[in-house]
Amino acid sequence: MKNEAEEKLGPQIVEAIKASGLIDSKEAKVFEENLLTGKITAAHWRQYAEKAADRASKDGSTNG
Amino acid sequence: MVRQMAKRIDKIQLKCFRGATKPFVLEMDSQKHTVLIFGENGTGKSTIVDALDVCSNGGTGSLEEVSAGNHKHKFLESVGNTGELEVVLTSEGNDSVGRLKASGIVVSGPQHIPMVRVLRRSQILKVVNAEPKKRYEELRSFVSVPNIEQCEKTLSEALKAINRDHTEEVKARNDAEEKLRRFWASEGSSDGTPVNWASKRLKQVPAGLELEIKNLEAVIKNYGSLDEELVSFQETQGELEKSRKSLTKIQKDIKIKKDKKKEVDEALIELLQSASEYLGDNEKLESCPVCEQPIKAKALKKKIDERLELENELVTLLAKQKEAEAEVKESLSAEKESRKNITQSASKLLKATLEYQKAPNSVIKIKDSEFSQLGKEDAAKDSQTQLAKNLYAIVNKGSQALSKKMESNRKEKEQRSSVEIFLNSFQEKQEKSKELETTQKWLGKSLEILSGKRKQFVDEVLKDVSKTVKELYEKIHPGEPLGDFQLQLDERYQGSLDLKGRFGLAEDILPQAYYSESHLDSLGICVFLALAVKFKTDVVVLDDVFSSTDDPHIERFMDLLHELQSSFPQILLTTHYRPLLDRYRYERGPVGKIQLVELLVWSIGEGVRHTKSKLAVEELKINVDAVSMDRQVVGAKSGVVLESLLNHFSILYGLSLPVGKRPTLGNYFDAFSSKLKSKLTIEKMEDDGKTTKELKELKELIDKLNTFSWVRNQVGAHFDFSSLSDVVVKEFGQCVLNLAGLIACDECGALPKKNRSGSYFECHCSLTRLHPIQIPD
Repeated sequence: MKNEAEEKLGPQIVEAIKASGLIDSKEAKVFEENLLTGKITAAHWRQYAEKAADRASKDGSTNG
Repeated sequence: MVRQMAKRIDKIQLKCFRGATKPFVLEMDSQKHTVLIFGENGTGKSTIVDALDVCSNGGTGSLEEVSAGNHKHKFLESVGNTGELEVVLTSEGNDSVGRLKASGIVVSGPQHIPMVRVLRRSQILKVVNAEPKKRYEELRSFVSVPNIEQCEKTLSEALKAINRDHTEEVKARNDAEEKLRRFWASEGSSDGTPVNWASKRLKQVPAGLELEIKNLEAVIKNYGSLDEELVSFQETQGELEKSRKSLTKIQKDIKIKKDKKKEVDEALIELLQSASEYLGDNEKLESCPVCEQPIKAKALKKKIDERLELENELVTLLAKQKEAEAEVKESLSAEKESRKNITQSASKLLKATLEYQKAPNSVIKIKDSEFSQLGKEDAAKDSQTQLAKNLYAIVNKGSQALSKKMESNRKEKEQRSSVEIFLNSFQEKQEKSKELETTQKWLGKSLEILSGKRKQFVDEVLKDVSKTVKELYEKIHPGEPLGDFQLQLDERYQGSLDLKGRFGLAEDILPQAYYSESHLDSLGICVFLALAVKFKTDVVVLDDVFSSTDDPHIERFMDLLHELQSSFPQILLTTHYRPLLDRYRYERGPVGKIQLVELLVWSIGEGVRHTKSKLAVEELKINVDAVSMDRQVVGAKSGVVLESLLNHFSILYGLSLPVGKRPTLGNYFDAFSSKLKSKLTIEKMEDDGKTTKELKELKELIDKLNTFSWVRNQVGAHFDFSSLSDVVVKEFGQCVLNLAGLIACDECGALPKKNRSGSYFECHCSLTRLHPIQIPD
């Protein structure tokens, strides 16, 4: 069951995580759904981080 | 279950639920925002509250705080229950039905039932007095974000796992580097670092090392083969010499025998031996195969054997000679084969050696020209063997150096292999640990964001709530030196909520250490209400929350609740405190906005029962209007209502009353100055709150009531043996009703008491005003 506090906080977190570069715009929707249902596992986090690192290296970015 | 629009509860029906041993129905007045349920202890207040709580929030209501094992929901059933437990909440015409299942109360019906938040007396203490962690637990339903916290937890786990992996990779890298360091140190520590040295070393591949090792192996192998062949050749030569010597000796012996016996005819002996053998094989022969003369084969053989016996020794020697000759022949053949093998082995050794000595640091040097005849078929066999022996001698001379060289090359090869393995391992682990460091940074940053945002969000909520708490608290305790409450998460501990406040000039104090019990009660209720305001709440339930609060604060608290009606669609308040009920019964509060419910004495046979509480003026009116009027009741009730109204005036204007005894009606009337009476006016406003609808002076009515006040004592309170007529008693009652009807607001039912304008008192809804604001000079 979603709760009011989570519905307010969730989008703020998604925006901040997106701005950090961990996820891209395409991933944001699924990320938010999983965040609000508590379904992001440790393995998911690792995948997000690895993909973000991969994107950053391709972009030549030092972000992260 | 999804919460949508705010809702009210219209009706509660209970069957076999806790104290409701008999069916219980409570209908809520849709025109009243607040329901006040009064009941003395043990009349069923908690039964009603638990029904709301369990159906809306799950769990077991007030049983949560009772030590009753893991299946507390079983105790939700009424004692001696014979039917099925059922709780029906009706909201907007829809019934939500809760029934008891193995897992607890299961609610079926419309998806959207009102969000009910319940505050019990016991929770107030936890909100205020408990340790920060328990306080957090009590308020968790408001401030927790469980799904986000779960994701934060898995993120933290992912980061820890990455940290572990990284530590392992770094350790493996350091191990590989340490091994390289040992090789590096043993090689003189050149090229700056072990890794640089190893990289450089592996790049400088000695081109001939593998080939040299291969050629060296071939030289050593063929050298061994030649060695074996030479030994074998030596043996065959020995055998040849030995057989030759044996033959020579036999020939010498035969010569001696022949010399001693000159007539010996060797040919004849051989002929006789052959004839004997022939006759032995042909015993039935009847004629000589040479002369064809008739013979007797057996007899002839016997005769020949006798002759041969005579020549026996010589014969033996001749036989040995034959054997010896065969042996010599065999040895010669073996010698020839051995020479051939020697030549072949030597040729191979020569080839391997010539190949090997191409290496720049070769330990053997031979001249190819010296062995050009080796292996040539037309070359003399002795020279071939000699060449082989020469070659063997040269290689044999350098064999020790060869072995040393071989060992050195193998060591070099193994070391290079090890260095390569450790360098590869170092580089692989180095790369992996860098990858993990990057992942670590991403995860660390994400955790920082997630955790920071969550804390910031909760802090903002708490800050906002703290502000509301302060505002609410100041309405209950205006002008007191307590305040500035702050709820804040303790950064050091997860799920820990600090509560701090101000006491006079002292800031950041723990309220529970300084505040009185009644202040802490108010604070706890304010925290709950502030959170309920902040987060969507349809129905606020306050279950018997007053215990130590005094009347003026309860008064202000109730005013506060009425102010909060815009924040919640419905408020349900239970109390065992009778003055709170009487406050409304005597119209000291906006009775038009509150539904009064009074619970009757509970029994197992009757269950929870209730009745609608009547206002004092309603009861009086019923009695005044009764066809068969009870004059004593009218006299008594009129006196009580009048006393309540006059008491209200005395509080508003600070009228002087006798100290140390209960004021009588006469005392109240005497306290009115003529100036005040002459100015007392009720102003009723139109719904716009600006236009005067009715203006009525009270002096005449008060004076008239003053003349009737003795009726209360004579008829209502004492044995009455007078001829006072019912008409007088009825008129007294009617006058009291008139005064009450004038003063009490037609809209909200409350008496004017608020000084918002500074020039008159007004009721809760501001549609009834009382002038003046103070006694005229």
